[in-house]
Amino acid sequence: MTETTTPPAFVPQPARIPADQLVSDVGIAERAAEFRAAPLRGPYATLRVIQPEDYPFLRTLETSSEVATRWRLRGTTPGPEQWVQSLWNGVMVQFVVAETKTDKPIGLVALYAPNFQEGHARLGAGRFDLHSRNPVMIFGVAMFLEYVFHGWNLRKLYMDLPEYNYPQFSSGLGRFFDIEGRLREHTFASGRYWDELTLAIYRDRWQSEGARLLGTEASKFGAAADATAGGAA
Amino acid sequence: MSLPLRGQIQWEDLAVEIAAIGRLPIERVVPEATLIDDLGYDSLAVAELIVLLTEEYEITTLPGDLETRDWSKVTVGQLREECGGGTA
Repeated sequence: MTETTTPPAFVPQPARIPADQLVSDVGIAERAAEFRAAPLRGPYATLRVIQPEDYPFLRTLETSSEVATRWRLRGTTPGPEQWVQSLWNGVMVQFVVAETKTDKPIGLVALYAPNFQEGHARLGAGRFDLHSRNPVMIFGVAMFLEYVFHGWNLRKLYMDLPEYNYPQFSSGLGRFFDIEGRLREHTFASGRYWDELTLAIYRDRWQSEGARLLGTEASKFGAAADATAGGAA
Repeated sequence: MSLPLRGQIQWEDLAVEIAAIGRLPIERVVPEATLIDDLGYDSLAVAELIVLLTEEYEITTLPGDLETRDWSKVTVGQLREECGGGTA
C-alpha cells in the first residue's frame, strides 16, 4: 500500500530584495512640491473652455462681422452643425479669452494639428474687436502659450496668417517669433491677393523671452490661485 | 543723484524703455507722441510696456483701466504723469 502525503501548503514568502536594490522614495516629495499648474486666470485675461451656450455668439461673430472675412471662415457661412464641427476640427485645446475684470469675451485661442513625433503644433488666435489696441488679448495669448508649453512637450508652434493680420503683433519679430514661411500671393481677400505667413514660436525662446509677458499674469497669481482651473489634482 | 521712489520712473528711464520696446531712436520719444500712431506700437508692444512698468518699476496705477482705456490716444507724456516720473 502506497502511503500518500499531502503536499505542504504554499506559504508565500515576503520578497527578499537586497536593500541596495530597493527603489527609494527619497526626493519624490520635494519634486512633487514643484508641480505647478499653468494659470488660466490672470489679473487681465482669463482663459475659459468654450461651452455650447457660447456657440450662437461665436457663430454670429464669425459669420457676420468684419471678423468673418479675416478669420478662418473667410466670409463663408456654414450651417450651425457644420460650423460647430469646423470649430473643433483638429483642435486639441481651445479657449475663449475673456477680460478678467468684466468676463467679456474678447477672443479665441486654439492649438490644433499637433504632431508629437516632430514636436510641433499650430496655434490660432484671434480677437473679436479687430480695431482694438487693447493689450488684454496679448496677455491671454501669452497665458495660452504658457499653458501649452507647460502641458505638452512641443518644441515649436506654427501660426499661419495672411499678411493683413500681421501688423497687430509685428513688434515681436525676432524676439517672440520668427517668420519661417511665406507663400506669395496665396490668399485672396479684400479684392486682391496677399502673402500667407507662417510664424514659428519656439519653446526655448518663449521660456527665455516671451514668458516675461506673464509677469503680472503668473507671478502674482500663479498656480496656487488657480489650481482647480489649471487642472491640478 | 536721487533714486526714483517706488512707483515712479524718471523721464530718461521711461524714454529709454519706450524706445527699446518699439525699436525706435530715442529722439522720437517725446511727450506729445502717441504710442500707437506716432511711435508705431502694436498691442504686443503695449503689453510689454505695461508688464515692464508694473513689474520692474512697480507702477501700480497703470493697469487700473487697462481694459477700457483708448490706447490709440495714450501719449508718452500721459504715461509719464501716470508713472509719477520726473520732468524731461
